[in-house]
Amino acid sequence: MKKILILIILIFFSQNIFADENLDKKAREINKKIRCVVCQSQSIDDSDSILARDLRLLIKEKLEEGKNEKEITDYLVERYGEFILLKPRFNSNTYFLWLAPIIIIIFGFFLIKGIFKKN
Amino acid sequence: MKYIGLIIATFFIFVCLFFALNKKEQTLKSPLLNKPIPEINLNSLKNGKLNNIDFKNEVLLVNFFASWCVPCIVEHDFLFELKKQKPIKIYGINYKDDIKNLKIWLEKLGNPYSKIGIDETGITGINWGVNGIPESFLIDQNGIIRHKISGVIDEKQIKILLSKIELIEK
Amino acid sequence: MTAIIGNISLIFATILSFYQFLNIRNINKIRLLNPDRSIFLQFFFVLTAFFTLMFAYVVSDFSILNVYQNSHTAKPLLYKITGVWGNHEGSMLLWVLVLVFFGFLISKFDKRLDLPYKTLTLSFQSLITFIFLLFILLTSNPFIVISPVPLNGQDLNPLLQDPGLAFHPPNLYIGYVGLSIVFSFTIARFYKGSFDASWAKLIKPWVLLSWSFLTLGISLGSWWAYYELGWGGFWFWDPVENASLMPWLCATALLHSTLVLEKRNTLKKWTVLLAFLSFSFSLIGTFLVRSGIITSVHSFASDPTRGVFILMICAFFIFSSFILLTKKAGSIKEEKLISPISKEGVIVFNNLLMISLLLTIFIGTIYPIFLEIFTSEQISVGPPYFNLTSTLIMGPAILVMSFAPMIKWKKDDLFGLLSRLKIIFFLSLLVTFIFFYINFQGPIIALVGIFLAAWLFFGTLFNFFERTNYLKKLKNLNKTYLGMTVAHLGFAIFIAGITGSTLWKIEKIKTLKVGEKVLLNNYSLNFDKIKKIRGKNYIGHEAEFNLYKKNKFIKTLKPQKRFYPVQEFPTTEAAIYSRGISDIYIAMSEPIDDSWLFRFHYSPLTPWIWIGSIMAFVGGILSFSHRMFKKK
Repeated sequence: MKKILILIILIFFSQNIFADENLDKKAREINKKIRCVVCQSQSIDDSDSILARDLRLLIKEKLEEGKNEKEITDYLVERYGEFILLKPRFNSNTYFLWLAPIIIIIFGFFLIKGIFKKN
Repeated sequence: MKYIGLIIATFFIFVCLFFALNKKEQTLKSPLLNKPIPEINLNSLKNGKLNNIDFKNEVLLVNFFASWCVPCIVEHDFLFELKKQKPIKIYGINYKDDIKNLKIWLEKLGNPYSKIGIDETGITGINWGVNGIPESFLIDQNGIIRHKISGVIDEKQIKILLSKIELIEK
Repeated sequence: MTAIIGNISLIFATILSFYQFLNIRNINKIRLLNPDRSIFLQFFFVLTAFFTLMFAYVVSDFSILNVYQNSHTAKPLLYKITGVWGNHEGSMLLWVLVLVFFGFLISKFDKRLDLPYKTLTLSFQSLITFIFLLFILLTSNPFIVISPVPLNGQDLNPLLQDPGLAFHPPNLYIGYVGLSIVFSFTIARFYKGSFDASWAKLIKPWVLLSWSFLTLGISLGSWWAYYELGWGGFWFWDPVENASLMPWLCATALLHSTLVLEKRNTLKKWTVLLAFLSFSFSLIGTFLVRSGIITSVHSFASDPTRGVFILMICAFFIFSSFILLTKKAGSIKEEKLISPISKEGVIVFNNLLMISLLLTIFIGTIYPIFLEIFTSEQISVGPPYFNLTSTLIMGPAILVMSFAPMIKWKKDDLFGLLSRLKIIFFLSLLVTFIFFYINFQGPIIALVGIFLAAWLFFGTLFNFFERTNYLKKLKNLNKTYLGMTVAHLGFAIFIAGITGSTLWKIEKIKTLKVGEKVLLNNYSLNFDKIKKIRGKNYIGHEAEFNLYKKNKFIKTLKPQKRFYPVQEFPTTEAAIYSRGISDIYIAMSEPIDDSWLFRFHYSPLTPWIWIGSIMAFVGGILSFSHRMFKKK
């Protein structure tokens, strides 16, 4: 009986440790996409500024509360604007930005078609 | 043929760059403008609380500051100047500070605030989209944020504030 | 006195460059101010102005505004000297120095050029010089005097007080501005001669020289950021970094396109366009950095009037060149058609991808600016966007790059080629598995990166062995070929470097007290001491870490945190232990009570980023050295 109890407790704690590690990993992933708005070209993952640290803590807390990435980024965008996202969202403001590379390559293919001879 | 397209595209880019040079905003716009104030629930310095109830029925200025913030010292005189020119209520939000240091600071420099909320962790700052301090928000009688000032309120900013307040009170 | 010499030198250079442009048809060698003498004098006067400014810095002559704004008596001598180009006005002077230097180089050393063509080229180069000298004199003169003379200066941004400042800008500018001579060669060719194989041979060494130094300059800048800025990254897709990458991509495409023009006498209009675009992107880069339109770690103090002036200069050169090409496109004789499975074919494919990436980066960089004008919305376009697009575009490029040197000109047999690639495929797979098992593991994309790097590496090596008949014919090898091999191998190593550094990095952020330690991979870093330090113009703290691997002592690492009082600026001096195939990196942050916050990185393959890119530089110089001394 005692052994089973100890085992259960151990499993419970190890779950927490793993969950914690996973949460840490998830937090770092999100942090890399959030801009440090008081720095020059850094994410809050890279920066040691006060705001960056506070935001990292906040994101960690929200993850622990069970919020997902979208909810967290929505929260930040509500307060700091889209500027805080290093990866621009795909919306009416950015269709051209995201589609441009594909359009350019396709356009390029058509441009160079003329120079190729048929085999 | 294709070169004409290239020239037109380049021309378009240059025209836009030219406009950008003149129009470029140096500060970050706040998405909270023209929206109701975020939730605020802080302990105030002199017992009691500072929360959303305190933001009704009058035009207010909210000023994020701290005793460790050097530009805030400069701004402090301008806050008194502003109140002289227009007796507006100013709420201070003490950001990531130490109450002891705050009290000493206020004694030395004076207290322009009707109420001071204590934001020890900085979470209220994040809620209001604060980048750094000092930062101030002008709030109308309906609790809507009408203007945000990033950085020190100086003479120029006072003029802007006064004209905005006039606009609101019409 | 110094200011007078400086100003007079600049004015003489300005007059001379204008004169040389006007004398565009004068090829008379006997005349007093013939083309060779004129360009030499331009070089002489700009060099004089440059050294005069340097002298003012060295003796701390604060009567000169530029010296006052950017220097201080306590600043170490190295940074007094290199600080000349650590500000807008001084670096603009360096810019023009490189312009006239390239003119001088072709005048003195390129014996392949006939006199009329050389005269035309130098005249156009002089036009560029003239316009930039006007820009300096009217908006960015380093020799403005102030009175009364201040006792001391405002010191230089501490981030720039570093050996990197000595190397990064000069090399970068030689690359960046060197593309101007290619531009001049191209404009001149519309008036004398035709765009044929012989023209490709003419410009090739100059494209190689600029390209090589641009590669080196960018590489040094990235390395500098890595060890100086304190957060362990080496590339941030910062607009100013992009501003140097864009001409690089264009110059790379141009390099390969001239190969096709030389061997097969086709892709003429495209090569001309690339020659124009390369320098155009250098100009646009200059605009982005100096106009204030973008705020960045790199940007110089900006002034909107300067911005408009530079924009006008860019517009002038870019539009004139495009209009010239449009008008005279008809006179460029018809292109030959290309077979897709041929060396020309894969080079066209490479060009398509390089230019697509270039345009993508350009759009990503200016998009926030444009969006703000049209919608007042402010967004960021950061590393996630650029990393995604660049890896998707470069992936296929690297795939093809591996066997491209093996493909024959004109036409080749695809299946025969693919069968020879089988062994390379298996070798690459093997290397990928090896990396997978040496404690690195996933993510998948990292393995793809290693596979591609290995694929490129073995493909290049295989081709090299074939060509030299397994090193038997090594002595006869064309240096150009050796250069290409070294450069491509370097690029493969570079790709492996960025893969390992970005995807396999182990990072820990910890607060430690003296006596505590941290475990990193299978290393132990013991925080043994902390002491106060004092430098010529800074104060700070230095931590002492002792690095152990399995209880064996390896090295002492001493990261520092400095504070420069005059500029009121803190810097982080990271401590790096580089083992050739990985780096251990420590950066100090702030004290918290009686502990300190540190960032620790274990970065596998990181040194390969710079080993690889420097190899690319060496390869380019090897090719250049072969071609340059090849007489007509």
